[in-house]
Formats: sequence, C-alpha cells, structure tokens
Amino acid sequence: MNKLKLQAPVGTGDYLPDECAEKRRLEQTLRETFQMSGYDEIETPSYEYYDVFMHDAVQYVQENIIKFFDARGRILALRPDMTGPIARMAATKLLEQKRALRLCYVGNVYGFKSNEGRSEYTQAGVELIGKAGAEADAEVIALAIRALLAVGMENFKIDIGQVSFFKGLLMETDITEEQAERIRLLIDTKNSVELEYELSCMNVDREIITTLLELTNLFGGVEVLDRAKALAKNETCIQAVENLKEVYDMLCDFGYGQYLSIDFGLLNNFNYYSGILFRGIADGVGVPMLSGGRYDELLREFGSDAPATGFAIGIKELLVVLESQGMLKDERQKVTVIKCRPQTRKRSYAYAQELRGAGKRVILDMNGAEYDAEYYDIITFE
Amino acid sequence: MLTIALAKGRLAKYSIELFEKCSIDTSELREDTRKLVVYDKKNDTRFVLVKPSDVPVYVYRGVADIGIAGKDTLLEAGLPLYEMLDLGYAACKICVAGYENKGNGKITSNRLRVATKYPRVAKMHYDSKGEDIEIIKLNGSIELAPILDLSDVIVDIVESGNTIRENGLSILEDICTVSARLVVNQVSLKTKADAITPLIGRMKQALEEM
Repeated sequence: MNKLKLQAPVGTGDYLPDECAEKRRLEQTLRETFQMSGYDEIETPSYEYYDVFMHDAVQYVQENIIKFFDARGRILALRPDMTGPIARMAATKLLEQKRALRLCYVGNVYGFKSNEGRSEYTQAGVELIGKAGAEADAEVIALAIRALLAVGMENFKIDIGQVSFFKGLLMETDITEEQAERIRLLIDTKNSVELEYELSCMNVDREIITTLLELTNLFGGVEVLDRAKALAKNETCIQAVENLKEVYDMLCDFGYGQYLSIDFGLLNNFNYYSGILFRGIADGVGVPMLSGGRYDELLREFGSDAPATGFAIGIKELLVVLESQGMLKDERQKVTVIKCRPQTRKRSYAYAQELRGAGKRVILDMNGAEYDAEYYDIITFE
Repeated sequence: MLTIALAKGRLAKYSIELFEKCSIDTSELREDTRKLVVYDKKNDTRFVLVKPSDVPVYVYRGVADIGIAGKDTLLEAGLPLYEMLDLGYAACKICVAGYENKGNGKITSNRLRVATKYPRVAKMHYDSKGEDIEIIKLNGSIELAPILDLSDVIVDIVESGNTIRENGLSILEDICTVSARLVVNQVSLKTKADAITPLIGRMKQALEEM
C-alpha cells in the first residue's frame, strides 16, 4: 500500500517551526532591504493563463510548467517565475505612469525541474522596470549584494556576464539558430573540447572560432575586461565590454569590489537576458542561490517597450548556505507558561495579556500539565 | 579543501596516473583499501571513490568540487556542470546496434523498441530525429535484447565492437564519441579558483605530455 496520505507530494516540502522561523526572518530581512531601497512590494496570482509564459521573448520548457484548465477549457499555469507575471502586470496596469517602476516580491514559484526534486520553491526578488543603462544594472546588483549581506552571508561572489558579447560574435557568423544554441550550451558549460569540434564542422571564420573558444576561459577578476576588449570583433562586442566595465566600476565605488567576479561565458537563460546577467554563488550549496539580469525584450510581449532588469533569490538555497556558514540561529523567544487554578484564572488571564502586550509569548495553563523548564519559562499563579 | 570524486573501476587507474603527474600524492589511493575517502594532506585535497554514474551527482550537488567521469555518464545524468577537459582515455562510442535490414514485422508494434542502459541518451537521439520510440531500460547484457526479440535495436557503449559482432549484431548508427572528462562544480570553479585553476592547468600540461 502506498501511504500517500502520510507524505508531502513529490517536489514539495514542509517547513517545521525551526526552519520556518528562519525562513520568515530571512524573508522579512530581504523585504525590508528591498523596501528601504525604494522598491514597493506587490503580489500576483499563483497561476496565470499559460499564454503569459508562451511567447518568443522567453522560451520556457513546456514540460516543466505545471498546467491545468479553467472552467472554460483555457490553459492555466502555475507561475514558473515571478518575472513573467510582473511584466504582465507592469505593462498593463502600471507603466502608463511613465516613470521607472521599482517592484519587489516574496512568493512561491512552481515547476517540474529534472535536476532537482523540488517543484515548489520560494523566491524573493526585485524588478526595476523602465530604466536602461549601466546605472540601473549596478543599482540592482548592489541591492543583491546588500540583501545577501543583510541576511548575514559572509563569503559569496556575484558572478557577472554580458550576453551581448556572445551575440556580437554570432553576428560575425552565419550559423543557424539551432547551431547557435548548441554553441551557447557548450560555452555555458565551458566545454572547449566539444566546442572546438562543433565549430570545426560549421562554416565559421578561423578567427571567430578562436574567440568563441576563448569565451570558455574568459572569466576571473577585473583583468578579464582587458582580455575581452582585445577579443572584441565589432561594435556590439565593444559596447558589451564597456557596459560591463561601467557596471563593475560603479560597484567598486560602492565598496563591493571584493564580491565581484566576471565571466563572459555566463550564458544561462540566454533567451531571457539581453545584456548584463549575474548570479550569486557561495560554498555550501552547489548551485547558484541568486540569479538575475537585464531583459529588455520581455515587456514587448505585453505591449510595452520598457527595458527592465531584476533578480530573484532562492530562499531554500539561502537557508542551506547560511546554515553551512553557521549563520542560522533560532532567535525565537522562549514561551512563558502561566500555571493557574480556576480560582485564579481571571487574574492570570489579565496578567497573560499584560505580558503579551509587553512583547512576551505566553500560554495559560489551568490543568497542571507538565512543562519542561528547558523550553519554557514557568510562572505559577496560586 | 578540494574534494575530487573519482569513479571506481576502469577509469580510476588512468585517473590516478594523471593526478600523479600533476604532483598530487596518490599513495593512499593506490593502496588496496576499502576506504571511501582518502587524503592528500600536503595538497589539502581529498578523494572520494564513488560508483561511476554517481560522479556527476556528487559534483552537481557541490559535495565534490571536481570529478572524473565518462561522457556517457554525463550525458545520461544531464546535469549542469562545467565540463572542462577531455582526458582522452576510456574512449569509445555510443551506437545504435541491431540486425541489419530487419523491420520488426509486427502488427502490434509500430514503434521502434530500443533497449538501453542509457534511456536519456537514447531519448535525446531519437527526439532529435522526431522519431517515436519505446525505451526498454536494462542494466547489462544489452546485446541480448534483440536476440530474444525484447527490442528491435540497442543503444549502448561500444569499444571494439566485438561483443556486438560475436552476438550477430551490427552497428547501425553512431550517436557520439565518449571519453573520460573532467567536470567541475559551477560554484566551486569560482569560489575555489585558487586551487582549481592551477590544477586544471597542470592536468592540461600532463595530458599534452602523455
């Protein structure tokens, strides 16, 4: 017999009090950090019409989206990210105000993922919509760094890339979209051996092949910018390097140089991002805990031409990293038990309320139950 | 500390030789031991010995920073890892094999039946051709499947092709070539660059000299 009623569904999980308390603390800290930087919190529905996620700007993997039907047979989708719904909301309801929008959220997103078991996970993040340029990119990356510092993260890196450099190189070839996708994947996994083989089978200029191969190796500190500049093949590549340099310099002036690394081979979620992209990494969890970037094409799908950038933090990954860095601490206040008898309950109840008003967590016990002094402060009311 | 996941079995011998050439102390690795974790204290490195198909899992999850695994294993795992070096050894091919010129002639089966240890690789191969197939997952002696009419073809790793031929089958299609690869966790490459970058450099050099 399958005892399903005893289990949480595959891909989901419970947060027990210890973990839930820490999760809330992180969420609250992140929310405050975002709000103190001028971002307003919003909420969108847990599910959308499937159409919100089916368009040219972003290619979601169809089978990863959890779908169902509404009463009229239309396809609904549990949101696989927050960016799509926020783009829809911003383009249709907020952007007429013609000023930059700074929005933040804490919410659950859903999707079947083959690599990791989970299909429901909490993200906290921001979107800066209606603002182009290096200044906006630096603003959200600085906010990402402040958010990680605010939750107590110590050792982490923000790895920054610029997809236009790769796009610029592609312009110098006439390979098909399918071939470009294969090359992108090989660069993103730094697989120079197979990349060399693939490129040798395509009709690509020798010099461009060398440069594309070099992309798998174009990561590290600030010196990478000079190497990239020397490899630039056209105006698009040059602008990509200059854009990244501008962002990098700004973040150094903000005092965050130590957290930065550069990787021009960073090409994940390629069809999403149109410029700067970045992710936050730390020892303790093998996968990035934060990812974001500029997505200037997406709003067009919803009838607006606003540029946009943003990031999302995976709360579970953050919890795992913080625990491994010894930064998770249960800060819940001990509960006070007031033990009383029926004769004293009137006074006891009033006293309990007084303590609660003063910020104590209080329970009232009239049955003489046992409480372990290790976990409770006990007051006896005779 | 750097953690290296090594596949037990045929890959291990070559891998140990390679690390030796990169001035890693492999003496503990060479001992006939049942230990699953062995150390090179001088280089602040430890090796974990795992089943070949588990190497990508250890590296993806970040409990090992780097690993050596066959490309076949990596393809089957399909995990996002940095695949940074082709170590060249344990080279072979993944092929489709079966009887030549034999349709299956069955009224009740109009899909190609594919027996394999590599369901993901087989699926990717036939997906790329838009072909509708039925996968039969086996764990060994794959060549038996077409002989007993369990499947029409097999997708398997082929070294010399002897086993295929001796069982009266032929290679029908090459899917890809595979060999031992160095994989690196995407976070570790950046957070432990001081240890990993020079090691990869030394490995590259050792490979060129071999």
